[in-house]
Amino acid sequence: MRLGLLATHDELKDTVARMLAGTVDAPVQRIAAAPEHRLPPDGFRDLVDGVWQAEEPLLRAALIAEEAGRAFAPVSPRTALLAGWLARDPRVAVAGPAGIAISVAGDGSAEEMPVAVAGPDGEAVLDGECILVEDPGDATELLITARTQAGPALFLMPLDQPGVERLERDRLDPARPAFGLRIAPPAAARRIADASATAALLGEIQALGRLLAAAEMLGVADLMLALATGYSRRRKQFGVAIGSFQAVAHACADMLCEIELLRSLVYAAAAAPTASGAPDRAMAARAKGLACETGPRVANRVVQIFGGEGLTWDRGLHFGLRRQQALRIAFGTAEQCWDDTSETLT
Amino acid sequence: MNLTETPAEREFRRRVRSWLADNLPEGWTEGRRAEPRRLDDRFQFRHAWHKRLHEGGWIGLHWPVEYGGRGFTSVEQLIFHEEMATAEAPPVANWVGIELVAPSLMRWGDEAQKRHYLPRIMSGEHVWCQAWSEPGAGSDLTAVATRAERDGDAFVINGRKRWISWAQFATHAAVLVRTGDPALRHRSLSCLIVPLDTPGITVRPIAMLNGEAEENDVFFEDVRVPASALFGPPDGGWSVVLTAMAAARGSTSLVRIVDLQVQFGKMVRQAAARGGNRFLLDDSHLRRRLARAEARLQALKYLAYRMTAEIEAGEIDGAAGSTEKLLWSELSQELTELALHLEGPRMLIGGHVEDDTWFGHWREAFMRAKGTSVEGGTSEIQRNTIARRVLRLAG
Repeated sequence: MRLGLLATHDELKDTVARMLAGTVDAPVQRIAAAPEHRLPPDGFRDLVDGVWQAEEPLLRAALIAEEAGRAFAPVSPRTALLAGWLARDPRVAVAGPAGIAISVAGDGSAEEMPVAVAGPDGEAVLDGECILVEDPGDATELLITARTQAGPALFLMPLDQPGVERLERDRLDPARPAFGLRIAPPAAARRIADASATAALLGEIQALGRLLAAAEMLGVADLMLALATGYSRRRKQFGVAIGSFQAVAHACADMLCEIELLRSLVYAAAAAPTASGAPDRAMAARAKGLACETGPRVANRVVQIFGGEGLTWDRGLHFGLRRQQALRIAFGTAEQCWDDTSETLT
Repeated sequence: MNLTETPAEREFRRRVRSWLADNLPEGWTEGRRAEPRRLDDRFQFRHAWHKRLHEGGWIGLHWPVEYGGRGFTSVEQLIFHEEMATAEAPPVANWVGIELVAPSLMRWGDEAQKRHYLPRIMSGEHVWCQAWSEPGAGSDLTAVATRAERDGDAFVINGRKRWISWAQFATHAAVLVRTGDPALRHRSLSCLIVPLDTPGITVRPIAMLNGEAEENDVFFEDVRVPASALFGPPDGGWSVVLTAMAAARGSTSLVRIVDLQVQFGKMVRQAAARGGNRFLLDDSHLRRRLARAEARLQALKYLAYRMTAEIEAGEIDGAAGSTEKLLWSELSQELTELALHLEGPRMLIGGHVEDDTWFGHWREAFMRAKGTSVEGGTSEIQRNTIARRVLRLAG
């Protein structure tokens, strides 16, 4: 057992922070002035794609997601990390993680799974809709679960083909690139895992997705608290910094406690993988459940500490609030997570 | 962080578990807490348990070898504490001596003090308390008014200490006294080693809201101790206080967290068994509250893991301990609220044994937990500490 992080983990966090600092220039405030979606540098993609070949890959993946949250990265590394996870699995016929967007059951991208029917040349034809799919920037294919007669199965569907319509969406989190999809025949897809393999894979994908979303929410919460404490030191009322008032100082202290609690659970979930290398499902659910409570609560309190300034568009705190709300949906809300973990109580 | 145990760690855990199975007090079976009800009987019971642990070589695991310790790694200590809590082993009588006074002695005591006191603390021959707080010096410990005047080769102590835990059973006290100008606040405080059988000392237990009297008033009236009783630098008692406060973190917090986990798990399982699991199936709100509390408990345990690693690496000061203390005290109180829900009318009656299981834990915990957000620094003080020293907010 090792109870803390190693120097190499701190270096990884520093590297990611440095790389992503260039993609957003500054935290949330400046995104307001420049909300275009810049992609992370090539080196970052290489770092993410190399995670699953490294030592203690799950912990590294979680740390990357945490730093992406703290840097308020427009493109989440979660899609690339999930695609990389699947690409290394012999049960899945995927060449590599590049160019793949993801919409799988339970990830919050669709209300209902599309339906797959048999098409020509053994391919399936899909019919359905994805409400919002995160755009990794280079997506040419969509990894998607669709309903078959034998149950849900995993498919890979080219995005540029007849029957697939990419939809511009007015998004709650406008700083994160994403698109909607209308899918109708003759949209063809290749099955990459059958129903029996898909069931096991979806469990692993859900656990990994929950852990990575929780880690990103942790990073966003860190960023928001840092903004609040910085502002509390600078902002003066009644002749003194507002951080000197216990009402503000104690609110910040409580936020720090909640964030450290969340960090502990995220790291622990990443530090005890199952035999497959995926997170333990209950641990991932606990981490996501706690993140879904802590992330939005911190965001709300930080907006309150900024007073009227916090409510303005240009100050940009609402981007943090929006991102945490969006991440709550990803792979299940707190309620869904508690429902899952409550099964382990007795 | 890597939570996979090595073969050596697994073997160590097995060894601790096996020793506990063979050595827990007579009649002490899993799921049953059979500590005596009367406080003085309970102290004697814990004192006997301390001696048994000492004979087994389990006291002072983390003390340096030069002081009789075993020099165990932090992971081994952690495994030991987890197994103790999981087996619901009784606490030791001399907790204050082992966990708080001994580290302060190792850091600030002179060689003669270390050689005399450390082995006796370890064996349980000496039982210590910390006499710091006073009626006018609670949250603000720098306001200590108990004075020690130098008189030849002795100090003469006069004053009153309050909230001194287990002082009625202690043989020795580390007493924080004013040795200079009170205007100098923490810079004119010193620490003295005082045997509690010294003439002029009166210990008076304070009945608390749970009906127990673990806390005491301790009165000092012209109490003479030799100048060699000075512990740490003259007017440098605050350094001793900070060392003891830092020592109060880490593995000791893990014990109380795992203990809470064990009791929580038992409560849920027993309630489910009584209700045929229906209460969990039927009430999704309660089910989610329980799942949430269970997740927070797990998170708190891993926070203690991280704190242990950071303390070992010398990365943090006492301020980070405030985070764990604050979260633990609030969660321990929250769990007693959940217990009211699960235990129902059982919360209204005293402890009793049923099917070899001791009921009454949560009724007592409900009252006892009120103290967790006050003792060892109130939650408000913890928040101030976090805000000032971790978040660097002025005030």
